[in-house]
Amino acid sequence: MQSRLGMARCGIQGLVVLVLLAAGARCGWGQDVASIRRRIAQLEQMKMELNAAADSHAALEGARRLAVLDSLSVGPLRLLAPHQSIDFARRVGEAAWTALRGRLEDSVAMVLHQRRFVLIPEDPADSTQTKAQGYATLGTVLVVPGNRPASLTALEIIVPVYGDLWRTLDPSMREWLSGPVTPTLDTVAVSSSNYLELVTSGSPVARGCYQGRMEDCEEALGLVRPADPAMAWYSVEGRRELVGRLGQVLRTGVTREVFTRCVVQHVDADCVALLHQDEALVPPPLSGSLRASYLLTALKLGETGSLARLLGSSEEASVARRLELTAGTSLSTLTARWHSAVLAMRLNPIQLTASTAGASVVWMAGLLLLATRSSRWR
Amino acid sequence: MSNAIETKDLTYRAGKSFLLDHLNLRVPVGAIYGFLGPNGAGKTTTIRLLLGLLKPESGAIAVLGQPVPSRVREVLAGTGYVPERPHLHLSLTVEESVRFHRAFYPTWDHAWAAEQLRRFGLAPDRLLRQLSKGEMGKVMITLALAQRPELLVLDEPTDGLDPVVRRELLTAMLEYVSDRGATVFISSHLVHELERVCDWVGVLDRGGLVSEMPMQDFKNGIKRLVLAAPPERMDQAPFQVLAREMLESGNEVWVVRGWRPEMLSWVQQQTRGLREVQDLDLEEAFVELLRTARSGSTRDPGRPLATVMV
Amino acid sequence: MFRAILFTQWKWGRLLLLMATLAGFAIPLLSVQGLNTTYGNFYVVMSLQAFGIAYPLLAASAGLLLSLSAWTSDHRGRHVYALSLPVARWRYVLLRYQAGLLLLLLPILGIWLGAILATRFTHIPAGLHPYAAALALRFALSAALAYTAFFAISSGTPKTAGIVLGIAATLVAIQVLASAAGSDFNLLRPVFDRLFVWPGPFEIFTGRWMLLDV
Repeated sequence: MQSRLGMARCGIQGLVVLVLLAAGARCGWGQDVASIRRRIAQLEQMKMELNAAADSHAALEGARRLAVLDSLSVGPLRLLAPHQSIDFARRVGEAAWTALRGRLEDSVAMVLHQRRFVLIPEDPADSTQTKAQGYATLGTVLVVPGNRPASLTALEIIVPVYGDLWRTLDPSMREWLSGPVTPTLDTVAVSSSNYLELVTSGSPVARGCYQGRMEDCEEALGLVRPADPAMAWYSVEGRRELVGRLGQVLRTGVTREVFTRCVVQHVDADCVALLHQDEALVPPPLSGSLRASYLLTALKLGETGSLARLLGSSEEASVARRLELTAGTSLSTLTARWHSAVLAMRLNPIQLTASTAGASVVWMAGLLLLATRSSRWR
Repeated sequence: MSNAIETKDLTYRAGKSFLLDHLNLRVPVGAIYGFLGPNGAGKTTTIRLLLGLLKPESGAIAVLGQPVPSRVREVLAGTGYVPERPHLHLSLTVEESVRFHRAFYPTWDHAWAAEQLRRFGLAPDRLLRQLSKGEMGKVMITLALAQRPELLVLDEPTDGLDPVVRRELLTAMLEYVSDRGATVFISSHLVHELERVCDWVGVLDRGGLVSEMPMQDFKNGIKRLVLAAPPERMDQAPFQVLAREMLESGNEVWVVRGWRPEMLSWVQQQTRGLREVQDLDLEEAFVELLRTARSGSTRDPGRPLATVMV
Repeated sequence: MFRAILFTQWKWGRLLLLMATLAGFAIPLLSVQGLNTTYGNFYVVMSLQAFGIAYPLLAASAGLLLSLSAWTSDHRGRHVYALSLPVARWRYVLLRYQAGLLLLLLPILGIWLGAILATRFTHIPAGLHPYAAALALRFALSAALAYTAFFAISSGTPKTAGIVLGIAATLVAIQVLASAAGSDFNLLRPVFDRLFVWPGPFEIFTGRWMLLDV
C-alpha cells in the first residue's frame, strides 16, 4: 500500500512536469494562461492530498510496527527491537552505553536524547528479507547480522552518536579538532596510535610534550598559538615536510623556484617564507586524533554536565578556556591528565611476561621428555 | 658363556608376509659363523633383532652373555657391526667419520684405524658419499674393527663387491680374529665366500632355521649317491635322504645328509646298484638343503627342517 | 661424545646457521633504518613494527630447519647407525638436542649484537628506550621452543610424524569442506587458540616484537 502511494506521488510529480511542459507549449500556441494555472493549482492540490495520505499511512504503518516491537532503555539509550531479539538488543545497548559512558561520561545523555534506535537483527543467510521497510519513522534503523557479537554491533550505535556530538559542536571547536571525532570500540588501538604519534613526532614542542613539559603539550595541541607557529612548532625538517604536504595550497602566488628551493634544495629560509604567507594554514603539530583525545579527556574529567558546559560556553572564548570549563578544572590539570593518559598507552615493546616465559620453558621440557622417550624400534 | 649369540624361540613378525619363526641360534664363542640364506630369508632381520634394532615378538636373545634388548648398550659396546647398506653419516669425510665413531668406544684403537685406512688407500679428507661401494665397505669394516669388539656382526659385507675388495675385507677380518679371538657372525647368500672362512654355518630360509652345524659337517656330510636300483627298505638308513631324482638313464640320484664313509657298507648291503658317491660343494649342498626344506609341508616349527625325512 | 655430536650438527646446519645469524644480525639494523634521516618518525615506526614479524618468523624457521638438519642424516639411514652405537636412545636424543640448542646461540647472538649496534648507531628520539637484551631473550626462547617442538616430532618414528601431519591435514580438510558447504563452523580457530593463546605452546610467538618502546 505504502509503495503504491509512493509510486502515485512520483507519478503526480511527473505529471506536473509534463503539464508544465504542455502548458509552455500551449502558451506558444496562444492558449489561455489562466486555465493552465488553474490546472496546475488543481494538480498541486491533488499532490498535497496524496502526500498527506502517504504520510498518514506511514504513521499508521509505524504505529503498527511499533506495536510489534519491544522497547527498552539502557541509561539514556532508547532501543526498539523485535520481541524475540530483545535480549540481543539489551546486550548491544549495554555495550554501546558502557563504551559511550566510558569515553564521554554522562554528558553523552544530551546527545542520546535526540535519537531512538531500531535494532533489527537479520539472518545473514536470508538475502530476501526487507525488514527495515517501514521502521524509518520510528528512529535510526540498524539492520545488523543477528550472529554478530553484541560488542561489535554496539559500534553501529556509537558511530551516529559521535556524529551527533560532532554536529552539536560549534565551528570554532570543530576547526580546532580539524575533523570528526572517530569512534572505535578498540580504544587501546586508538590510544596506542596517539601514543605513537606523540612519541615519534619530529616537532620540538611535541618532543617537549612527550618529555613532560605541559606548556609544550598545550602548544603542540594548538591550545596556545605562538607568535610564529612555523618556527615554534616545527623543526627545519618539519617545515620542509609541511611545505611539501601543503604544496598545492602554498604555491599560489609564489614562484616555483622558491618552492623547489625549500623542498628540493632544503633552503629553510624559503620554507619559512612560504609558511609565513598564511600562518592560518600552519596546523598544530599534533593531529586531530590527539586533539580529539584531549576533548574526550575534558568531557570525562568534567563528569556529568561536561558536554552541556562545553556547548553552553561562549564561542568567543578561546578553545583552551572552553575546555577548562568543560573539564571543570585548570588547563594544566587537564593537560597533565591527558598527558598521563596518552603515556599510559605506551605499548610494551617486548611482550615477554614471566607466565609466557614459564609456559615456554614448561612446554620445552615436556616436548624434550617426549623426544627422549622416542622409540628405538623402527 | 659358551655361546656368543644364543636365541631361544625368537619370533618376529613383519606385516602379514614375513614371520621369523621360533628361531634357535647358537653361535659358539670364537666361532666364525656363516649365516646363510637366500634373499628375503630373514638374515638381516635376525641380525637387527640380535642388535636390539628390532623388537622381538617373543623369545629370548642373549648376545655376549647379555640379554637383548634390555642390556643392548653393553652388547653394542662389545660388538662391531657392518650392516648390509651403508649406515654412516654420508656428509662426513673419512677422518670425520672415524672421529665421530671413536667418541662412542673407549676401547678404540686409533693407531690401528689410521694404519688400516692407509693400507686400504683411503684418503682421510674424502667425503663418504663420494666413496665407491668397495671403499665404503673398507671404511665400515675399519670402524667396526678399530673399536676392538668381542663380536663382529657382518651383514652381507661383501655383497656386490669385486673379488679384490672382497678379499681385502675378509683378510682384515681374519687378521683381527686371529689376533683377538673374536667371534664373527657373518651373513651372506654367497656360499663360496663363507665356505672359505667360516667354521660354523647356519642356514635360514623363509624365517626358519634349516640347519646349524660345524662347517666341516656341512661340507662333508652332504653327498650325492647315484644308484642303479634303490634299496628295498629305507627306514633303517643311518643318513637322511634329502632328495631323490630319477635320471633318463634309469639311475636314481639321492642327495643325502649326515654321510660318513663307514656308511658305504650299509648302502652296499641294501642295494647292489650303488654306482657312485659324489662330493657336493657347499653351494650345491646349500641348494639341495633349501630344496628339501621347502618341499616339506608338515614341518614342525620347533625343529630344523633338515630333520624331516623325504 | 657431545663434541662429536656437536661437530656433526654444526657440519649439517652451518649454512643455515650462518644465514640465520646474518638475518638475525641484519633485521634489527634494517628495522631502524630511517630513524636518523626522516622527519616525523611515525612511518619509520610503522616500518619498525613491520619488521617485528621477521623476528618470530626467523625464530620459527631457524628452529625448524635446525631440528630437521639434526635428524636428516639419521632418518636417511633409518637410525641404524645411531641405534647401533653403544649409547642409550634417550641419551643420544639429549646429546643431539643439546648440540642444536648450543648452535642456536649463534642466531640469538646475531640478533643481540644486531640490536645493540642498531640502537648504538641510530639516533633514538629522547624518551625512547631500546630493548636489545629483552628482544634477544624473547627470540632465544621462541627459537628454542620451535627447535624443541620440531625436534620432538623429528625424533619420533615416521609413524609419529605421520600422525601429527595427518591430524593437521584432517583439520584443514574438514575446515575446507565445511567452508565449501557454506557452514560457519570454524574448527581451526579453537585449535589455533589452543596453540597460540596462553598456556598454549606457541604463545611466545605472538604479540609485539619491537626493538624500541614504540
